[in-house]
Amino acid sequence: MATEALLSVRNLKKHFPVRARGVFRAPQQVVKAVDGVSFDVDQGQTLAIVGESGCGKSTTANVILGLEKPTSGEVRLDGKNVHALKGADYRSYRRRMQTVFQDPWSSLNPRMRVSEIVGEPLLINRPELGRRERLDRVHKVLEDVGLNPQLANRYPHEFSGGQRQRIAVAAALISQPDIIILDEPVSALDVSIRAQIMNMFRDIQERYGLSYVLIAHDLGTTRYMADRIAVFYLGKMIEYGATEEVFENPLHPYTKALFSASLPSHPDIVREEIILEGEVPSPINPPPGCPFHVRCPMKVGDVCEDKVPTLGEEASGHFVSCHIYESSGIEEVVST
Amino acid sequence: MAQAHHHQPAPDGATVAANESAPLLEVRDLSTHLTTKAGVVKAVDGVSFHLRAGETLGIVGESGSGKSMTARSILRMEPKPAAEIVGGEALLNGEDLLTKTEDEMRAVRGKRISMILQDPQTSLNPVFTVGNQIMEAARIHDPRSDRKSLQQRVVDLLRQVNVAAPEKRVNDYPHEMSGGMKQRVVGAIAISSEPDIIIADEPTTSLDLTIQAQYLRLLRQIQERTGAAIIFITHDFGIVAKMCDRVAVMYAGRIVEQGDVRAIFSQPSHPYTHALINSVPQVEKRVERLYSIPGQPPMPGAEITGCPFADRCEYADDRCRQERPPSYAGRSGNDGHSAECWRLEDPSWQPKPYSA
Repeated sequence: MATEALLSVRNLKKHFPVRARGVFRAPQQVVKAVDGVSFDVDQGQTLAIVGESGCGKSTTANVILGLEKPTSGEVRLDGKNVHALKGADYRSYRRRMQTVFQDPWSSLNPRMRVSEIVGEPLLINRPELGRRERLDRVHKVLEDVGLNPQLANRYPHEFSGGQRQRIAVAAALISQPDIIILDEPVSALDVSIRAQIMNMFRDIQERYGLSYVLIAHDLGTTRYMADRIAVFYLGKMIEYGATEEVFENPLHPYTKALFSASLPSHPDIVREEIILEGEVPSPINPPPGCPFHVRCPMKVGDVCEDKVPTLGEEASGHFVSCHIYESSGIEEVVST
Repeated sequence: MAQAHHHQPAPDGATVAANESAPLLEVRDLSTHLTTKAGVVKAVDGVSFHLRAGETLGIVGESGSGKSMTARSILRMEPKPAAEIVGGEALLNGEDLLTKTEDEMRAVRGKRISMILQDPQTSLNPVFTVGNQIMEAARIHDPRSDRKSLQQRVVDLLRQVNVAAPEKRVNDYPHEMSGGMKQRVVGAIAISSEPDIIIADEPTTSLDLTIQAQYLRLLRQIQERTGAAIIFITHDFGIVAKMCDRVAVMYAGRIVEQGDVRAIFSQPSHPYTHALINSVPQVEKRVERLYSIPGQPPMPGAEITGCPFADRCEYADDRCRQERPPSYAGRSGNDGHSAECWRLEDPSWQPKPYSA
């Protein structure tokens, strides 16, 4: 992490207070939704954040987007802390950072025409544009996402799921963003549509030099789309590295379990079954030490229960946070 | 339309008990129509398949393909009055379920065929203890039992689905249990009647991977212990690859291909199956570029004269658009592997290899 990446997240924490109820108020508790994560997104690259429900991946996305303020830590775009931006700088950051949601049935306003949905951001970002110019740009992005511009006067309900997702992408693309956050962008779509949409994402990435932060739980999608992968567990990033490196050589016991639980692409592929017992513990009272120790099939000893492992570089650019690897004398990541 | 029945020994590693007699369930030419504002939708359009004792069959298809409606029709749980079974047979040990009275069906549902939902949240009643709910299911199966022996049975059932300390857990309410535990309770209810067939209908939204792995393992254990046959209703080819002996691929209300799971994955014969398998990104390796199927599935209610996939198929010709293709032998040459595609008229036809 020598030169500054396009987007860098440093030691990000997001804690939510939980209101105590009753006459004798219990001490205030906090949900540690995101608890100290650091990663980079380079220009033109895709970073995937994978993990199960409650691991903090969506909260992280919300903080990056500026929808939530971090409890501590920083999100930097071009080296500038985005949560300290004001005025025109802040508006520019909001323009450069767009998002596409999972469900194209609920993310598009049913009362607006496609041309209005896609063109709306221009009213804010480019108020000087006239109606004609705005429409021209709408037509251009619709073409870029593979939709016929002649359909621009229709309403969302007239489109299929895949087409709606294309509309959502066009609405993000029209602001000429640098980064688009893709929150489970294909999981609500029919299987036979998903490849079309994934390929479209890759095509427009290349054409526009876009960066993606992909929030996904499907590992096949992740491997196909991402250059780098961050594995989250209970608000912490437990493994991080180049996608191919992590898939070929997963280090953290949780990552291994996750990969072993993924479904095979052919009946002859039989994976070693590492089945984790129980569920992810509550982020209100996360277990002490390593957050994974209560389910870990490879615990090394008391140290797992007592000490939080640090994220260390085990192979070049491949980081893991686990006591199994701590003894090998690797340096700690400098994270500020 | 009824095909000759092929009975071959189970492939290695499959859980099928080689059974030379008639199949446990034989569905022939099943059709279920839905009346909607837009007209009549042929939700299930002449579907034939069979299931042998102890076997696992996957019915795989996208939303609207008719996979769930097929399962519901067999149980006579199609959403009436919109849905109506308009033809066919569903023979369970030779008895046609489609001609049974509602009373007779009650002796089938939950007893000889039971259903297990992947999401335990929606199938347990929050105001009764789990022991109570399992007992209710067990009592239906065995109405003459006294309370004491039923209680014992509940504990046994929970033990069968690997619930630790079942004597204590019977008094828990669903909200006191973890999701995985609730899944097991649902599993215990499903096997309480010692059914011959379990239908596992998967919701469209997927579960977290490790929770899904727990669920699949639970079903495996249930199958090992009870010998029940399982029908998986799924959109996920991965589930089929991992769990099933045989698979039926549905598209627009029809089974377009069926056969042994290895034959289908190694030599998919319907262009839809072939394209779909090649358009799913793999965990095992990164393909350079995924094949993407153009277009989208036909709208429900669309008039389909020929092959339902013709509009999206790169091999389609005029006949494909006009005449419904009959069932041909699949490319594997295996008994029981068949696909409804005109191209297979030529036994040497091969679809193009996709993606590197």
